[in-house]
Amino acid sequence: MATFFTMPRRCGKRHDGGQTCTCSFGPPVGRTGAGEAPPAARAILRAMTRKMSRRGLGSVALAGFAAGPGALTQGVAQTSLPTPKDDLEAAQRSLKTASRELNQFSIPRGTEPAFLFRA
Amino acid sequence: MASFPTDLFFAPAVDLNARLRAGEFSVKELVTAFSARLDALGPRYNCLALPLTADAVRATKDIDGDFKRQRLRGPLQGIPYGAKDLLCTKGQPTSWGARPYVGQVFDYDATVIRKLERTGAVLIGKLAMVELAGGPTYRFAAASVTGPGLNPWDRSRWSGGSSSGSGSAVAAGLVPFALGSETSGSILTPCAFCGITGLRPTYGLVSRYGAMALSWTLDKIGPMARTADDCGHILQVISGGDANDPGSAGKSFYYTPQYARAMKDIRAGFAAEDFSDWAEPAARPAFAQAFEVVKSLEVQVKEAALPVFPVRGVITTILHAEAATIFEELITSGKVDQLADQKQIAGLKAGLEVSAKDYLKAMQIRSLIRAEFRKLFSEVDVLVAPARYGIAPKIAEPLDAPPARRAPDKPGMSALIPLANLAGLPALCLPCGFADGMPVALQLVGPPFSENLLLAMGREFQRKTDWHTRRPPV
Repeated sequence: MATFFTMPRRCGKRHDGGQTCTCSFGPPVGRTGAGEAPPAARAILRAMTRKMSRRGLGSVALAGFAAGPGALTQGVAQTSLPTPKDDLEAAQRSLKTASRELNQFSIPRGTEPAFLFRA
Repeated sequence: MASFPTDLFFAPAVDLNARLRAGEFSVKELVTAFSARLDALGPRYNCLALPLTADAVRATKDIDGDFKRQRLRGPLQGIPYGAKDLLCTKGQPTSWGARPYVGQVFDYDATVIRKLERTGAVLIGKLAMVELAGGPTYRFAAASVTGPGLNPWDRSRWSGGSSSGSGSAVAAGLVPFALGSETSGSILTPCAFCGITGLRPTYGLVSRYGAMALSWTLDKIGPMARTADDCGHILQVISGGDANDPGSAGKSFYYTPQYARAMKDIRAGFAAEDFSDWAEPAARPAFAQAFEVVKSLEVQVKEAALPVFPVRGVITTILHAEAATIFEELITSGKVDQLADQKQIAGLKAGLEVSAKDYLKAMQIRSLIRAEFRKLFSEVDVLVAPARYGIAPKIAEPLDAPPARRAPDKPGMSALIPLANLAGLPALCLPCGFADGMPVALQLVGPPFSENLLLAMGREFQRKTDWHTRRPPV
């Protein structure tokens, strides 16, 4: 279900689920322990969540940080959006369920399909 | 140039026409004022796809001349309006709300646009929409090249879709009326969420020539306006047979409220659980009050139940198969990936795999649905139900999120929108109150070609209520 992309420092680009942002994270924003986001990174994350929310693209949750020796170099954020592969599989599943529902329904003999549909 | 009071921007089209006939202001002044308002405030709600101010103002010269010479052409003469951006207009971009079609230009006008032009209505802008009218399905309000449709009652909420710009523009007083389209819920939903009146006509009553096809057997075009009365006048103009639309029923519609059946002779069916269980708790008082108004019309109210069918399976199969066939080139060329909504992209791709057997089974069941509705409408004349059970969602909320509440045990009329669309039935959406500061609405659904009955009942309802006159803090 997860889509990962690097977390931009000042990225104005649109980040739809399934797309990868290639913006650089910018200069180091602080020191951090393993897997811990520094306050500056959290602020960026909040701003990005607000931006995505305004655009109706869902929210962003912190997935983890890769910290270089002594300084944070890159962050990754996780959206709650499914990936394109998830979506395609879900759409195919949905159509299979629909097909099952149709096949389970008993259609009286001689029922003609609604060809040349007229109300 | 006349300076118009804000009230005028929220007046029904027929009132504006009466004032034009009385010479209170000219068509040019009216069109200029509405165009300026649409251009200025349209972007605030993401509802404007294409302003057409210059063309509109140019067209007013002849119409003002007609008024001077007393060549009167009906209650829409001189009235500005907006059209959903799936209707083509000669020489102007028609984008269908979708990035792959930005800049697409047709060399003819859609039949409905031509008919409105002939009666003297003035198109002042193309209005935003969900990309490809929603395709088979979509996840986010932001599924549009113009961004999410923002609700004039609360811009953090969605205006509904897929006729999102038409809903916002009418609600915010940017156009007196607009054209929308419905495949399954795309007129009723924005009307309910934005607190305006809308009519989904019987399938085949209004020509779709020049409109983007999403589903040949489900698409309808209809008016979105301030009052039921306005909807009647607009429908009279845009209806009628059209050899260019193979789905055309070849029938015209004459709006004749004066010959409407007496209210006491109308049998209105409803499901009690719609109002007690299915409606969101915050909306229940408004729906209960609205239902009391319906009863006060002296119609005969009786409980009714919808026929039981695998409605989700039927509409999913038909819509996916038809949409994927229509947009096959978009899908196979890979341009489908330019769409904004991943779920829609996936739905279109998956739709190519629907088997002929499944499609035909769905169409067989559709015949049965129509037959069952015929039986139901021998017992009642009209069905009354909430148009949507709750208020407009926040724009960031996924539209496919699992419901917060468990579905009630009895189905009520929860499947009325897809079932009635599958049967090609007309529906009228009537604002009926507020919940948490947002509009809610009732829908009236009748047998095929019963628009006059629905409109007569809607007019009576709006005589007794003022929900349709409320306006958002624009």
